[in-house]
Amino acid sequence: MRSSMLKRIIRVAVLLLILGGATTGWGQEKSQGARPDDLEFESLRWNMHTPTRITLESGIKIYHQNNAELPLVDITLMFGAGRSVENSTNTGLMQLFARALENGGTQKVSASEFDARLDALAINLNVDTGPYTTTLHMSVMKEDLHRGLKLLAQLVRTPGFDSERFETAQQQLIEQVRRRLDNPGAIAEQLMLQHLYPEHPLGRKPTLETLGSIKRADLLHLHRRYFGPRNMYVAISGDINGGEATQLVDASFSAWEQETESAEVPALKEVSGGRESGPVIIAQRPLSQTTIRLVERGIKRDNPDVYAVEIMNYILGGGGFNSRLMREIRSNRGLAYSVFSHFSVGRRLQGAFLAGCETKAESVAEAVGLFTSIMQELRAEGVTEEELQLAKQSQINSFVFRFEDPHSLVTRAMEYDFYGYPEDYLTRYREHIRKVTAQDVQRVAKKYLHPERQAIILVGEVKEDEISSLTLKREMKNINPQDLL
Amino acid sequence: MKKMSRYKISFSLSLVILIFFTASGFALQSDGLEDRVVEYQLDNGLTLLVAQRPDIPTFTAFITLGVGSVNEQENNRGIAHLLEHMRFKGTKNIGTKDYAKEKKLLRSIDECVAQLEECRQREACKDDNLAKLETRLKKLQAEHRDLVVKDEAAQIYARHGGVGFNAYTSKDLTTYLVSLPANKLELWMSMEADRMKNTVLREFYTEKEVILEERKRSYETRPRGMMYEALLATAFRVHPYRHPVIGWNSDIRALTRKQTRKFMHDYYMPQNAIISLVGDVDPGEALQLVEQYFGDIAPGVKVPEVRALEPPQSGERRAEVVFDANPRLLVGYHKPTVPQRDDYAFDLLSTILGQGSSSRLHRTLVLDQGLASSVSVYTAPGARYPNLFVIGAIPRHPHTSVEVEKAIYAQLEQIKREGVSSEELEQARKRLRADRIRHLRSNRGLASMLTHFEVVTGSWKYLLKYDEVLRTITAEEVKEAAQRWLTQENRTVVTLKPSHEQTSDSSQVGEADAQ
Repeated sequence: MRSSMLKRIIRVAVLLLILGGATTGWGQEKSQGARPDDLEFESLRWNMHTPTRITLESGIKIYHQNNAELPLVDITLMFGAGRSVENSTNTGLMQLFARALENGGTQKVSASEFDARLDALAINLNVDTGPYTTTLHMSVMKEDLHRGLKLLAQLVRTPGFDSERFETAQQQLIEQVRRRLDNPGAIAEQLMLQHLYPEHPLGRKPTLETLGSIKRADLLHLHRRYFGPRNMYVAISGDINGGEATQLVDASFSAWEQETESAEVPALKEVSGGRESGPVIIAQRPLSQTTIRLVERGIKRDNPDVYAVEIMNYILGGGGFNSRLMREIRSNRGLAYSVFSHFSVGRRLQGAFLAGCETKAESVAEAVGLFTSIMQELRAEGVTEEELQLAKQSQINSFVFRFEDPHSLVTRAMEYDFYGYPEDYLTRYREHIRKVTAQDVQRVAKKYLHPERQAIILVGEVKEDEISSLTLKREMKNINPQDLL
Repeated sequence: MKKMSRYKISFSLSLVILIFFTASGFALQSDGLEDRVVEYQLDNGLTLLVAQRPDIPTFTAFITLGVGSVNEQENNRGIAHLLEHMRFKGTKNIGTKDYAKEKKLLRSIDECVAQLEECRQREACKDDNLAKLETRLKKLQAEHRDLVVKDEAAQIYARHGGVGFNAYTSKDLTTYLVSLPANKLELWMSMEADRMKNTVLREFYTEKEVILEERKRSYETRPRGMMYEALLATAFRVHPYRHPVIGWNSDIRALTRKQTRKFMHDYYMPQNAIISLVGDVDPGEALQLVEQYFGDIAPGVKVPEVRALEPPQSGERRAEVVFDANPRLLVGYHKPTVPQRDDYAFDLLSTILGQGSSSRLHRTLVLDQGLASSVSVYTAPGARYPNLFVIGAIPRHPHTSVEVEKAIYAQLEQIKREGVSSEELEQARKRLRADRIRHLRSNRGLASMLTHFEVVTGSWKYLLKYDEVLRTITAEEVKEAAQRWLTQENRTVVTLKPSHEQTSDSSQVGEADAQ
């Protein structure tokens, strides 16, 4: 019986790369006597196993990695529909969909019975939604795998969206919106998204009104439209071999017939007035510390500059204590605890660049001034050879950690395919990083970092006279926090 | 010279079993863990725990000191957390261009700060005197900065592929951690032994500023943080669990470099240290390197046991936090800690009450009654000493904390009256086991469990017996534990009162006055 099931899997594309890739022992320090890092190291030899990839006849794509150390199996189902399908009147639809799916039982099993079955097996189930995808993740003990997968398959194929549970989920999300102002970081994030992605689904956050208008029927419609085998990716790891994983997924989903559409991603509007100074956007909150964010649009994944940008951002504010922002704003001046910059690489659309920290009201102008001047300096003078080497060595020598957690490895392999990364993305990553030069870093700093055009977002007790140095050339926009809900 | 300790014998035995087991690839259940973990103790008291996982050539290293904020006194609160930060600032070898020069300058900075402090205390201190001292301090600090190699330890680890170079301080312990490629084991040994021997408390005064900002970020601007602080400060009157790990603002400001150095030289030493190495690490090599790098360090001073005993609570305590935020609720009950049987009973209770959608509090408050948008159940704030069983809830508008509080008590009373079913108990045992296994998945998870239980229970082997003991806890014992501890006299309740409600109250008063 089992072999006949396997026979139906016609196209089996197996990508099993075993490369004798070796990171060399970088960083032989110059000899200065008894320094603790004055040591020689053998080079790290290891076989880079990338996950196995299998496509079933039904169109389902499976990514698998075995790890039998612990009696656990992790399964992630991913569907190509996320927040980008929302519009201005139903923002929050996908979040509500995810929550109501997770808690709503199935057509055959009531919501409370479904909960009880999961809990009886100590199963963790989470449904999450991102900009372009929705994922169901299940962690189950090996001994309960069959029962767990059966529940998961039933849930995704014939969800119940129990109407009481739908209402609870809706009320919970509404409560989250009501509490958004309790968290200055959340306010800053919303202001950032509004600024970077105007009139776009990714620029909106759910409001009391949009959440209130969503009906259960909207979820059923969404499910019919996007959730089917051709739109499904499966990542599976843990105490299960490839054959068993394939067979189980095939058995659970092969009979699923559901035509689906691919979700569309609306294009971004170009930001107008590219040369203008960015605004200072202020949300007043009675807090003893102000949240600061400097933001602009970043880059997309198919941009050939991604590697140089990664190194540039490491040196600017992504490398923790090895970055300029952290060093100056925290370590030298004691102005803040957390200081960072982040260049998110957009997978379908341009991602966001953001830098920020939190500091007491009287230090806001000083901190913002430092962010701006450090970025300007990076553009004008580039980076030192030492900084460049440190950033590159860090990325290259820590590459092995991408293989440490089997489930994040298979999940990433799945996402790389979904977003159309080149097949050799992982295997060639270090090579790309090695090629980055100091000139590249300065060039991309000039090209993608525009401190004067960035919007400055301030959430806290902001006094105009204390930030007058920031508003000389910039428009000041005062946002009423209540309008964000 | 060094005596063979009794651990050496068990070490070699373990190695044999280890080879056997890694070849067969076993399920890491409690019995498997026993054979996998190699334990060793140096003569100076340092404990080494190694768990080998050869699949990926990486390892996670923890060095945990059995000293946390619970070991602080009134005159040095916040010192453990401050030291957590300070021990990233380098050593006599790392982070400096010229330590001899630096040493003199650091002394001048201390003197200048002392004069400044003294001047600030005195009313007679003239403004221009103060300004002069401030300018002098700035100048000295700038001079000092020229001698510093900024955050050099972080640089070294990063260059060698290290990730997650960090530390945390809790009530019970302080941990420094990093993950490295497998070929960098000796680098870790060398760097961390240097940190234990040669740490220099440089940039001390700037770092205090960082911590004041950290305090604002984690507590003062977060309703949750303020409520948690209020819960501990209200529930505990005598035991040092009442104070925040980070310290109160005046504590942080008052700490001196001298007392911080003394605290470090006493306690951040082998006798109080546990190293756990998890990943692609050869136990024999690890042992040899630990001897080589840490073996010659003096044992240090044993961290004294905390003598303070929290007297039984003899009446409900309530505290209110006024904040511009939406209502929240925290309820805490004093309870015993490990290895008391009641502590196991509370593990079961908290699972039955709060883990999973079908757990009692979630089902009733969130799903059936819709009073709360979420409920959480946990133990806090530490585990070395008797602690609290805590229930946190977020009321769902328009429901109030009062309604939610009542509904919680109704559930607790039901358990006290009727107990829990055998299915619930079985399910909770399974959940606890599954969650623990999930925690073991990452090198970091296992490394943290090993040092945590070593500090809190005296031996990581507590883990091995856990399931076995848990199986012997009966439904009756769970009920009795609930009856014993979940009482009105034993509880502390903290509510968040939105400050706009406060304003409307006072404006009413204002109107009344005007009339």
